[in-house]
Amino acid sequence: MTVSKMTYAEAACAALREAMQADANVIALGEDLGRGGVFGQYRGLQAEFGGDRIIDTPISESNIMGSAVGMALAGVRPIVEMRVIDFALCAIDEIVNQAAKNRFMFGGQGRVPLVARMPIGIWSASAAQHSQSLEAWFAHIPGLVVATPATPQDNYGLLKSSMESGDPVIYMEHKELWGTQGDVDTAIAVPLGVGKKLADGNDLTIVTWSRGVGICQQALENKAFGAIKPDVIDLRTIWPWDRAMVMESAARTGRLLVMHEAVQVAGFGAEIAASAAEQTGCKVKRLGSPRIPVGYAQVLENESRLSVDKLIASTEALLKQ
Amino acid sequence: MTNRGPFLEGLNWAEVYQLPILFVCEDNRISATTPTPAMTAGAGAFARAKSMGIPSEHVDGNDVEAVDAAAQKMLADIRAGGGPRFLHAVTYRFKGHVSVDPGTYRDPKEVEAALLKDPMIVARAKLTALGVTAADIAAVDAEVKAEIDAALQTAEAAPWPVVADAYEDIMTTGAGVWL
Repeated sequence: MTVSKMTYAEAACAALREAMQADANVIALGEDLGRGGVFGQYRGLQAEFGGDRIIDTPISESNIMGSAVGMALAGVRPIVEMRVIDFALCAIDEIVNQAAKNRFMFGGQGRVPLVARMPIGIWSASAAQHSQSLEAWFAHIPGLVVATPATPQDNYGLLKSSMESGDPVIYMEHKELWGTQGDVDTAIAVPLGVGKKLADGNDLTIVTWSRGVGICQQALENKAFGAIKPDVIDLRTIWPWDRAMVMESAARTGRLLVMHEAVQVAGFGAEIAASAAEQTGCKVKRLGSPRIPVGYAQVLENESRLSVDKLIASTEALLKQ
Repeated sequence: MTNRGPFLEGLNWAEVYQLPILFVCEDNRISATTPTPAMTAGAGAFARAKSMGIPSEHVDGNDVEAVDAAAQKMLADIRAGGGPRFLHAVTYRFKGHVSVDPGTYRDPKEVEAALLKDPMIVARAKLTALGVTAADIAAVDAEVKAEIDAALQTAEAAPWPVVADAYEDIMTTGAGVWL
């Protein structure tokens, strides 16, 4: 039996445990990992593998990332924990100039197969410095893979694929999803760069990822689309993204809505919308956060959040275009 | 934070430019949820400051008088043009790292023992030994409690922010364009 119920956090933990059992070179390092990580996503691993493989580090993001780059160059397969993406910004030089560039700068002789986990997204009352979704920053950097799992199954599968990819992977779990439960089939491989259809329809194409997936599912379950039949795609990986799936759909429906929790301005939705318009001539629309910091009070936070209402309003506006 | 690069960079600048800065390290002995000593080489923050030539002191942070005396002396030195000083006050964090953290990863006995050395308890004992009456101490307690209660009431009575507040105090240039 390869299927069991797991939370999003447990699924990632299971994927890491299996990789560590299979390969002694797989290790994880970061702050507070010994007690299981900030969100329990490393629970039990230090007891099983010891402090030499689940490494508690000082609060030193740049050095955590820098040492992981060195380890990866030397043949170790490090999983780097940054707590939240907002803190990973302390290690941006190590990510952008070292992890992403070493293979190219060493003419292919150096590889940096690390997975940098940096949870994204709004998590109730975490405010402006702990709530950002910065996938577009990393999508912009040649050399980096960017993954954004939305379900326990995909967190299991994408983390495994990320560890096996041989490239530096920016792995973005969403903080509000840690407790989400779902069936995880450990026999299913989830390759990087392959999207997933959530619904089939011909009226418009909706592309989303991460927290946006749950919003789409909620809308589908509540029949919020009414008579409208959307083709809904969970992109799952931001780079490389599943162009084939998006283009096939956009060419067929003639309308593309991209939805993400990140700020809409210069978000990755703009890249998808522009690519689809160039290639298929479809009408496009984006739904993202206004360009405001995420507020602490609920009423402020809601301005930055996605919702079924916002999704339906954008869907209807696109259909009227 | 004293294990991060910017801390060491800041110390270096302060000494190089002879800046009039009193660095105060309130050392609660825990790095988020991991005990600090296991994550820190050497004697800690004050020793690092000392290594850069900054006069530094390590005091019992639960002793209000000790902290005050050390700070007074250092402030005088700084005001006299002596450059930066570093005050390392060792205390304890009685609660979790954030409001939603119950701090269950710590030994309750350790927390219990630390609570007995709460700076308020230590100060109260010292005042009593100096002859301050229980009534006088209670009066200060009541005054402080009233101030806190009033602040709490004001906060609770205050209205929630409105949606428009989400678009306030972000920037001036280009304001009004959010998409």
